[in-house]
Amino acid sequence: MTFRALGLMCTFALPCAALALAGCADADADAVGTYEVRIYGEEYIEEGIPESVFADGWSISFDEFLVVISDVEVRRGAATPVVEDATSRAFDLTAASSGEGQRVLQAEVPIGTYDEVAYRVAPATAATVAGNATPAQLAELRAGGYALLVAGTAVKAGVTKSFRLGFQTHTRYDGCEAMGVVSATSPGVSQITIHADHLLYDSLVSETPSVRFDLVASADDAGDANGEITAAELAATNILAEENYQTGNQPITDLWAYMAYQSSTVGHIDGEGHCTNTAVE
Amino acid sequence: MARRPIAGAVLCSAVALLSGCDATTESTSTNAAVVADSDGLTPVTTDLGYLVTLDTARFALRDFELTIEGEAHASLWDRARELLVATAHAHPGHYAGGEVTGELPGDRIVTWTAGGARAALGTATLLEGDYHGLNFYFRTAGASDGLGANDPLAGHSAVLSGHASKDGVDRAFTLVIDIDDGTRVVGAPAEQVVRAGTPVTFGFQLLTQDPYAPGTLFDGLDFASLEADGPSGVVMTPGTASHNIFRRTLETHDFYFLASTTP
Repeated sequence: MTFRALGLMCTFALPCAALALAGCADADADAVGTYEVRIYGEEYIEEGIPESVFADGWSISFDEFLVVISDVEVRRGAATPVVEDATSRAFDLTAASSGEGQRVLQAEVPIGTYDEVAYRVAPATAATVAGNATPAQLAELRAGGYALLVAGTAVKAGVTKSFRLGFQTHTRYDGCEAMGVVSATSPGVSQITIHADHLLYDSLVSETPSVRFDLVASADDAGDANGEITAAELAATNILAEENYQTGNQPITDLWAYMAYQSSTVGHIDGEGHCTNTAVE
Repeated sequence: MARRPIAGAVLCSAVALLSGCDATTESTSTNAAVVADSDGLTPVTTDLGYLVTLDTARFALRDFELTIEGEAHASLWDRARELLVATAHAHPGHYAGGEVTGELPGDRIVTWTAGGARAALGTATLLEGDYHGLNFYFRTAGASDGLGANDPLAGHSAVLSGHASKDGVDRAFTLVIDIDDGTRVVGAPAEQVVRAGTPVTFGFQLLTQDPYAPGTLFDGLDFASLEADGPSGVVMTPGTASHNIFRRTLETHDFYFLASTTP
């Protein structure tokens, strides 16, 4: 076993013990409080990804970053969810939120501690409703069957590339490591966090991938070179001989398929909290 | 952007689970020897028509993880451990396959030699169960491995040497591979039942032939196009397109196997 991990656990154990005990004391089923699930794209989406993040000197700002969220569940361990909401909602995460993100739902739940959240990022359908997305954005998501649509501009040394890319990813994020504590006086909150930089990670298998844009930009140079990067141009970019863009077991050969795969990994919980992401065929 | 640390939150989750209210059962921890097993180094004919004999392969690896599928581990420690393990897989595409319930941590140089004896890699600690998968990480071999400065593996992740023959021409080859530190191979197949009190040995194999589909480790590699290395040899070095393509093959789980073997 990982004894170092056990030691770390002991370091944190005392301050957490009260929380754990509170979880066990949630026996008063009549007492209820409020649980809120929010969605947030962090500064990367609201303000842009700065040059310092990139390994190759680019910076990116997003004009739109649309995400379709559905099938939100909140539960404690393996217990029956206290929140189950299948509603498909579309959000534009570029909207400034002062760090609060956008509200997905709010529900009354028994007082207690909830440690698991699940949700789905899935293609928009006719049933999808607007979270904070505009009618035009909602219409584009529905028309394209997109779960994720990112539009923006990348800049490097006087070169500007624009992009508007829709992804039809369908991903279930389960077992998200939440820590929502609901009391009679304060709501529990879980934040679905969307990591835009994952779309541009240069490896599917590295523990420490870099964020790169050179190859993405070069797809337009090799295409019509009109300054707008398209899905077709990315699909025409073979990655097999690239030093980066390692794919492990995934039989991926082009940059569009690579980014589409990455689009199934953008979801987290409460910042850096992890989920088990499963692609839905 | 600075990411918010989650270690505290995850550990809190672990502690909360440790003190959870569910009834549980305990799994039994045991040990198993792990050896480098060269039985997978069979001569193969590639898609380009080369008859390839791999003589030796040396890989710099670390942190073997043994995975089990379809079995719920209900001990409180297990649940805590699963959370801790999950935190190590912080990036896309990770944590595929079964649950990690066994490990052989630490850095190792794994050497496979055709016809060679099995070489001990260490003793894994694991829970009872039916093991179906293996994960591990590549790294760069360094001074801490005790390699001499002239060792061809020093500063690299893998070196493979052998012979490739085609159209009456035999070429000795050396393939020097660099793979990013921390690159993880997920889900190499394993076949081993582990029960406390029953000694088992895992044989870690590199395979030259894909056991489940047509294909060899060297498919797509045109040995005649590699850089000359002496009068009858060729070498593949990092930074070339052929290297980058071949490296991808090494990073898949297709050419590794964790066999049940004898000590």
